[in-house]
Amino acid sequence: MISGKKLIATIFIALIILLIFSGTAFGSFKVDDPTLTQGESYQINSYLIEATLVSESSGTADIRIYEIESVDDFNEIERKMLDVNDTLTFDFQENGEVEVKLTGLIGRSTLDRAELAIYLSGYSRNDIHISEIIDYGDDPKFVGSPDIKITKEADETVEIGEPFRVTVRAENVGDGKAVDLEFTDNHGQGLSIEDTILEDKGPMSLDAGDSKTILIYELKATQPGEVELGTTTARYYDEAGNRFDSESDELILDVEGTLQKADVSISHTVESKNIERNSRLDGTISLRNDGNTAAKGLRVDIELPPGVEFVSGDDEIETRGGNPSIYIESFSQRQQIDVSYTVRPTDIGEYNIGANLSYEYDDGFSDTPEEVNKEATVEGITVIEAWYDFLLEYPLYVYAVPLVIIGGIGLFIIHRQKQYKF
Amino acid sequence: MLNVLVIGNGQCGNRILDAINREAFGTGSKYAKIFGKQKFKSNVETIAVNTAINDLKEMQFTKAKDRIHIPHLHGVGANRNLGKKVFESNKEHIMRNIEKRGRFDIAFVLTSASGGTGSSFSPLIIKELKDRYDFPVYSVVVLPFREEGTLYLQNSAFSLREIRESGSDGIILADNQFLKQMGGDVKTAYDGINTMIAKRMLFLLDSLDSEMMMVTDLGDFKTVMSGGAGLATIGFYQADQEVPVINVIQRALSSQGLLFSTNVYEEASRAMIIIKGDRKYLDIDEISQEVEKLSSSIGHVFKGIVVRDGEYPQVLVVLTLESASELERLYSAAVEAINIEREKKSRVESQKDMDKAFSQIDGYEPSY
Repeated sequence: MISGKKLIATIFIALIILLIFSGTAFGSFKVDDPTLTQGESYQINSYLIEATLVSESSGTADIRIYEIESVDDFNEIERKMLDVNDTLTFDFQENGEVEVKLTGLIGRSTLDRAELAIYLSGYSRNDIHISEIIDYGDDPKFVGSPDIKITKEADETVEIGEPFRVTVRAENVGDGKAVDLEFTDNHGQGLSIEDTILEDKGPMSLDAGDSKTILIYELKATQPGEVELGTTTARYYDEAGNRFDSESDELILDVEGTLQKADVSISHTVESKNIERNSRLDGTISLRNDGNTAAKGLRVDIELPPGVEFVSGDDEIETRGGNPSIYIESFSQRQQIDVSYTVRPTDIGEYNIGANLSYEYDDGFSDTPEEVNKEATVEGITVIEAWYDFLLEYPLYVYAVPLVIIGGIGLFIIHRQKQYKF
Repeated sequence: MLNVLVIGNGQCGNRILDAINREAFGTGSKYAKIFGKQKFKSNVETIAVNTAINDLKEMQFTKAKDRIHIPHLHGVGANRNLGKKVFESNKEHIMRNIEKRGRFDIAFVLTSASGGTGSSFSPLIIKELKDRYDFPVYSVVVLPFREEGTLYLQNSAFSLREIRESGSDGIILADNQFLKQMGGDVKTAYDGINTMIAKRMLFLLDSLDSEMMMVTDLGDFKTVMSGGAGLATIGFYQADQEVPVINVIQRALSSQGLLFSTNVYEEASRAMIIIKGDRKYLDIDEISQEVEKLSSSIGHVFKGIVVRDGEYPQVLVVLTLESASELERLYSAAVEAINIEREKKSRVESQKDMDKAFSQIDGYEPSY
C-alpha cells in the first residue's frame, strides 16, 4: 500500500517529467476557426486546407489538404470527407501536425459553408507567417526557399608576391527570393589584399535563379606552399523571414617561390662568471646571419646593470648616454662577426648582462620590412671582493702616510744614487 | 775627532780608495751605499784623482763629488814625465778641491809606484800638501809584480825615490809581488790586495780615534813613522774563531799578515801594535810576552788595546823599517830594467838609418 507521502512525491516527479517533455515540444493551439464557403481555402504557411464539397443537408464536408510546391504546383497530401465533429490531421513541415475539425455546417441558398477549427501542434505560433482564407479563384501565396550558391574563383597556382585576381559570384539556386542578403569575405592566412575592383556585399535581394558578381579583388601571397583561400559566407532570409546561411567551398592555392629572410643568431659570452670587484671582464657577442637576405639596421643594446661600468669595446660598439650598443647598417647573409667589449663591475653582487638584438629585413614581398627582436643574456655573473678592497675601507691618511714614506725612500734612493753617479 | 784626508791617485790608488769606502759601510753589499752609512770613527774625506775617466767610472762606493778627473785623453800611458806635466797644468784645480774640504790632522796618499798617473802625481801632490799645510802626509805605495815589465819597474824606482824626497812623513809599502801569494786570477788577486790594504787602513784610522784600554794615538803613530828609513809596512791578522791572542799577534807579524816582505825582527825600527777584541780573548800576559819579544828586537813598541765586545781578536802592527832587503832587490831589478829600456831606445835610434834608405826615392813618382 502506498503511503500518502510517497504518492505526493510520485505525483511531483511525474509533473516535473511532464514539464520537461512539454518544454521540448510545442503544445497544441488553435490557429483559427474559419468558415469556408465551398471552393474557398485556408492557407497556413505553405499548406492549403480546401473545402471542396460542403453539404449542410448531408452533414458532410470534403476537405482536401495541399502542400504548395511552387506557384502553380500543388501537391495533395491528404483528403477526407468529414462529418460534423470529425477531424483530419496532416504533417506540417518537419515536426508539426495540423488537426482540422469540422465543427459545423451552414446551409445557404447558394453554397453551404463549413465551420472549421484548426489546431496546430509541434510548431511555434510565431513561425506562422500566413494564416488566412484564400477566396475562390485567388491564388494562394507561395513563399519559396532561397539557396545562395557562392562561387569563388582564382588561379590554383600563383607566384609568391605576384597579385592574382579572385572573383566571387553568388547565384540563387533556390525557389524563393533571398532578401536581406549580406556577404562576409575572408582572404585567408598568408594572403594580403592588393586591390579591390568590385565590392558589393549587400544587403541586397536576389530572386530565384538570379546570379550576381559580388566581389572582385586582387590578392598577393606572402608565404610559399599551400595556402587556403578564405571562404565567403552569406546570410539571407526568405520572404517569410526565415534565415538561411551559405558558404563558398574551400579553395587551396599552390604558392610558388621563396620568401627572403634574414636569420641573425646571437650568442653572448663572458670570459669568467666569477671575478673580483674593479677587475675587468671581457665579453663577446657573436652574430651570424644564416638567412638568405641582409639584415638592415642591426642593433644590439648591451644592457649593463647598475654596478657594472662599460670600459671599452671594439670599433663596432658605440656608447650613447653611457649605454653601449652595436650598430651595423647592413649585415649580409652568411656574414659573421664577433664583437668584444670590456666592463668593470664596481659593486659586489650577482649580475646579468643582457644583449638585445633587433633588426629588419625585406622579405621581398611585403610592403613593410619585417622586424625581428632577440635576446641573449649572460646570467649569474658573481662579483666578489678584491683582495685589495680592504684598502678602500680606511681613511685617506692611512694610505697617505705609507705613500709619503715610500716616496721619501724613493727620493732618498735617487739622491744617494745621484751622489755616486759619475 | 780626527780630520783625515785620504787621496787615491791613479788606477791603483782609486781602487784602494774605493775599497776603503766600501769596507767603511761594513758590508759587501752593493746596496750599502744607498741604505748604509760609513762607519768612520774620524771625519774622513776621500778624494780620487785620475787622468783616465774609465778608472773613475769604475768606482762604485766613492761619491761622484770625490772623484776628480784630470782631462788628458785616457791616461798618461805609464809615462811619468807626461804625468808630471799634466799635474802641473792641473795642480791648482786639484789643490782647490783639497782646500775646500777644510782642515786636516793627517793625510794619506794611496798610489801605485809603477803606473802613470799615480806614480807621477803622488810625489807632486805630497810636495804641494807639505808646502801648503802642516799636517803629516803619509803615502801608501803599492809596488808592482816584478814581471809586469821594465817600464813599471823603472817607474817604481824613480817614483818611490821622489815620494821619499817630496817630504812625505812616511811611506807604507805594499808589494804586489809579495802579496800574490794569495793566489787566484789577476783580478781576484788585485781585488784581494786592495781589500787587504783597505781593511788595514780602516783599522788604523779606527784605532787612531778610539778610546782604548791602553792608548796609542796620532802622536804615537807619528813617532813610529818618523823612525827608521822613512819606510814602513803594516801587518794584520783577524781571527775568525777563538784563538789565543799571542797567535794572532804572531800571524800579524808573519808573512801571512804583512803587506811587504821583511824580517820584522831584523829590519824593523819602531812598531805600533794595536789589539782589538772581546776582553775575554785579550790575555794581557800573552800580549805583554809577545810585545816584549818584539821590543827586545827592534826597540820601542807602542801598544794599544781596543775592547770590542763579542769580537774575536784582531791585531794591526805598523812597522817602520831600518832597511829593506826586498827594496834593494827591487832597485837592482829596476836598474836592470832602466838599462834594458836605454838599450832599446838606442836600438831604435840606430834604426833611423832606415830613413836614409827611404830618402833615396825622394822626388820620384811611380811610372806605369
